[in-house]
Amino acid sequence: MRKRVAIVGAGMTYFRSMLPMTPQEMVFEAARKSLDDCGLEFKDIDAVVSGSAPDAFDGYHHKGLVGVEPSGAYGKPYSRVFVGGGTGVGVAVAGWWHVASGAFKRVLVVAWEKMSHPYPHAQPLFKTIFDPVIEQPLGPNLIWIFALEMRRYMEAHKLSKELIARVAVKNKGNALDHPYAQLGAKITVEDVLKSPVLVWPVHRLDISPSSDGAVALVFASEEEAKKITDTPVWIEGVGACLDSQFWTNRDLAYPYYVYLAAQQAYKMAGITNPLKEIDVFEPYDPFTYKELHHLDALLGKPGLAPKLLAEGQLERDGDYPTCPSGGLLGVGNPIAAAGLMKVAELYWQLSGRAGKRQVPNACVGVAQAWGDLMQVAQVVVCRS
Amino acid sequence: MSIESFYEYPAGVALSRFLEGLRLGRLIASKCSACNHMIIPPRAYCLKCYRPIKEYQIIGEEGRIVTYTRSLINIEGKPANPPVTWVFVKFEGVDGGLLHVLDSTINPQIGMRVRPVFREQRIGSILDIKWFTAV
Repeated sequence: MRKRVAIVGAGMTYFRSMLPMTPQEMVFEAARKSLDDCGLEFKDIDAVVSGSAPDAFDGYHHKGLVGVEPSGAYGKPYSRVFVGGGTGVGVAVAGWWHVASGAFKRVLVVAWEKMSHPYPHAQPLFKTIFDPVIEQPLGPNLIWIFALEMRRYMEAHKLSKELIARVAVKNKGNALDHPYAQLGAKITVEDVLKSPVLVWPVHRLDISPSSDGAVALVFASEEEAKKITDTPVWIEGVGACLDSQFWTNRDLAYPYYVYLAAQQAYKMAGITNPLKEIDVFEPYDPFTYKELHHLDALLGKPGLAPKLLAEGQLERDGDYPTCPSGGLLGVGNPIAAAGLMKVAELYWQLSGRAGKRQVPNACVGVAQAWGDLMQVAQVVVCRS
Repeated sequence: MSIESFYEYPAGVALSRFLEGLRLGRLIASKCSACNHMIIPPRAYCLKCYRPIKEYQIIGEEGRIVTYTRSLINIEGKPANPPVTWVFVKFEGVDGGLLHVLDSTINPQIGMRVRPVFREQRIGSILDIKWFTAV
């Protein structure tokens, strides 16, 4: 029998391009804030589930160890979850298993990323993700994968770069109201289109930044949650799905694997019409078009998200508020922490604590992250 | 810090057939003897019915551009001079496809028919294909 799982506390560090803190210090700050948020102590936690993306960013291996001391995990079960860029929501899904199984009552879920260790930039490290025999010899960079997918998506629905650029305008604008954001800004579509073309059709302002940061959440069983807080946010559904690591085998115009992961979560949560039943959407937005690409799949309707964007429906005060946090484009993209930030945003939105970002009467939300070799989908559905 | 290490990767059973094909100036796909599913680059196992692959087959070299991009930067983030056009090419009746560079004199279009241009000196590498060009 599955147990109900609640989020009862959340905390995060600033997301910045170079935080003058070690990974341990960032993890401690996020963990301490999440426990203070719900009045618990490290000794009250039964198990810790952590997440951080590639070891290559830090230059030392099995970096999961970094999270043990600052999360108070000595003497407790501790695990590190890794599904590339999907890790941030994947770590929440794994935290849910811990409590839903009945094995643990109070679990700390923490994700961090320190992308500023390698210099001059983290980007060249990504070249090692490509197949060493047939792809690396061609000299690919990370952006061109996205550029190929974006071009295909534009072709499938006849989308203009002007329309897609509005995602950056919206999310960076939303991030102005996020106290921990790295790139909140009031910009225009023209600013995006005038920013340098890196890999056509991708401009600099179509891309989220590299960042340092950490986020932590406290999960509790139903019985414990009711003792801890009056405003629990319930994790009502989780989903996880993979597609081929060879992206020549995927439908580039529609991330069907995201659709399947969302359907798993909706089925568990009893959601049959996401468009009508969900109040807040936090799809993964490392690139402008990815927000639309993923939202299409979360809604189960290819090509619908760009139409809603064009109508202004994805704004925070629209009918389908999407990335009210500011997303990766605005808040920043410390990989694993960025995904968990989206789950934290659901917690803040659905418990009425989102401050200036608050979506009125938000009761149900969905968060999604994506990654690995761009074929991992992780989805969480929450309800207040 | 910096890490100095060297890695050697075997191409494996299926990709070795593919690379040997390139050396001979051919495109080789795997074909499942049980369900006839064909894929390029070839696999050692069928992705449809998960049986071991026993057949490899030369395919027609003409394909179509599924999508493309033009990279103005290189792997270091510095300007690529000249910019490189990347294409994803699919072949009729064959699953998967190939990622490669497009002839720099060609203006790419989605759906354009293209074929690989093989180098004269070939060693069994993906770079034995110089680039794809319009048919």
